[in-house]
Amino acid sequence: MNAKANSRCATFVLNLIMVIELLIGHSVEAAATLCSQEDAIKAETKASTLRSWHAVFNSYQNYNQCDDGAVSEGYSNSIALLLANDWSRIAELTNIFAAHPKFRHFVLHHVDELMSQDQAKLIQNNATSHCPKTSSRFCAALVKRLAEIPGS
Amino acid sequence: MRREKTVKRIYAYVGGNPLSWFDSLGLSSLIYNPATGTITVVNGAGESVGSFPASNNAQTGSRGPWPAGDYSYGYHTSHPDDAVNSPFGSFGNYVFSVPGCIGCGVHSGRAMSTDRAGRSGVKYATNGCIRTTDAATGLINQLTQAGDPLTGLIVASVPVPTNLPSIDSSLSGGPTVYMPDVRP
Repeated sequence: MNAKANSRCATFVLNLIMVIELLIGHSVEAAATLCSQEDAIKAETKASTLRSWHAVFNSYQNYNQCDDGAVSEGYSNSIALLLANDWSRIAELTNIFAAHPKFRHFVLHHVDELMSQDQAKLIQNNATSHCPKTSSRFCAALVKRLAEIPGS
Repeated sequence: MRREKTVKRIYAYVGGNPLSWFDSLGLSSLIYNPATGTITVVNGAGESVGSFPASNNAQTGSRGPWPAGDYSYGYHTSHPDDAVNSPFGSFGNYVFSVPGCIGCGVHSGRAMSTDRAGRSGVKYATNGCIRTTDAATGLINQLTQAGDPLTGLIVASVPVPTNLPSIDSSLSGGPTVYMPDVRP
């Protein structure tokens, strides 16, 4: 009887430990995806003035969880400026995609309604008339994305 | 009954009384009216000190426009490129606690640009923020510098009463009901 009770007790303790571990693991994961106010301020302050793809990528790595509201408006501004006015850096971007495919989705997501009409025309022209062979897949995705944006 | 409860919740910021429109703590606030496309700056004394064009043209895929209600002020951000035609205008972004949105605030910017859908000025699209003019954010900045910082923002779909004196509780009888100003 005592042995049975001990066994039940041990099983209960083991289950309890597993539940606690699961809860701790879950909360750590949740904390990793939350954007603190401090992070939101840091991200927003710089998001609109990122002038190289590596700068955009670094910010994406540090503050992707804050990509909303004004932070998102800042990222869209930087990405539109780079694609419209700094097309010669396109190889730098596609090199980053090779190692970090999720970043490609982030960039395309920010090709959005927040760009100006002039920027949209420039990007369309860059992607269709000045696309390097190594970036052809991205250029095709960019043209498709531009066509999807409401108002285009 | 249900409507009454909703109205009380919406106007909790002004003590449940939408006709008072002032902060009893003596700090400034904003009233955004999507129907008229205006944002009104109210100083700590409850006086309207300016009304400006504003819009909440949240782009497709964003959280959408702010629902009617009251929002407490969070923090202010400035950006190295702040200017009249930059994404956030000359005076940065005044961020409020908007449920489900990080960094949703009031800012100006894009004064001389046209977005993909052909909208310009305050109507230029945002990712959820309310866009107004540099004149509005400049006034908010002035009030803050003068020791009258923002405390909240009300999104209201009713006409905004302005220049209301605070109620003198020492007087006998019920509080006077002030009718909203009617503007042409």
